[in-house]
Amino acid sequence: MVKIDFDKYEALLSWHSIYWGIEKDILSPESAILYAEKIIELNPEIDAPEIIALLISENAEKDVILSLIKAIISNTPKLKNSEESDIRLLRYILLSELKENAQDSQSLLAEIENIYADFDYPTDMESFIAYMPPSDSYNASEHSEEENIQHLIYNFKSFMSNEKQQLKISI
Amino acid sequence: MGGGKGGNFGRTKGRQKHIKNDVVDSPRVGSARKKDPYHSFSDIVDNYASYAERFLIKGADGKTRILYQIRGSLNGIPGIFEWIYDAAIGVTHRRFIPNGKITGKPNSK
Repeated sequence: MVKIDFDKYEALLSWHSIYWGIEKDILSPESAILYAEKIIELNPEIDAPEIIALLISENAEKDVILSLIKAIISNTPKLKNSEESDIRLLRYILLSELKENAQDSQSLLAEIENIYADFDYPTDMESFIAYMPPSDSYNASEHSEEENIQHLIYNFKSFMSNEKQQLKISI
Repeated sequence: MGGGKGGNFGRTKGRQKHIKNDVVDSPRVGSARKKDPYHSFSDIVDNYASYAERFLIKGADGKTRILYQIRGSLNGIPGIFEWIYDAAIGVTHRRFIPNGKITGKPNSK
């Protein structure tokens, strides 16, 4: 599971995306506690007994954490983003974490394949999935292995740049 | 065929027949190891890769892999099972696609 830097990405997350990520086993149940800690740290005056209940929960099992998050969501005012945008933001965060922490291009592409599967194989990621046939006019047979990898990385970076723009991410 | 069924597959009159194909005989790596129902269906289904349609696919990385696709159902939902076999690594992709069709392309919806 990819670890999220909550100091950096807290503003892009929501309880909905945290719930979705834990439910799909993309995030660990402990990530909900780290997110709750960050929210309390940033908003010490917040009156949110459901978040405190999550923080003091002695049981970090997935089902328990999910039911506590459900209680938070039901007592939270309407989301600032749509559910779809929240999940797209989560995908952006996870891919950003992979990009920042990758050892090399090949291992980055292998990790990206897992995110592609986690998010149910979205077509907008196909252009940088190594095993997928090229979605543009690029002919991999005419290039070296290294050039093919760099082409995939280029497509990945273009995707991230477009997502950043479309999702209005300023960090 | 369907996930969780097919227990008699490969057996003839009490004698166990050893199924051999790229999918059964290879380690699973990457997303092929995911634990959700559409990825971690019964191992028995892998036996049916022997009867699946086989396609050579060339990825954007220039490598050729084998894609297997076969119609089936999982928990009453029709669709296809598909696997990708990379001779250098093993089974790198193993999933059920609800209402999927055999197309020769991975992840077709």
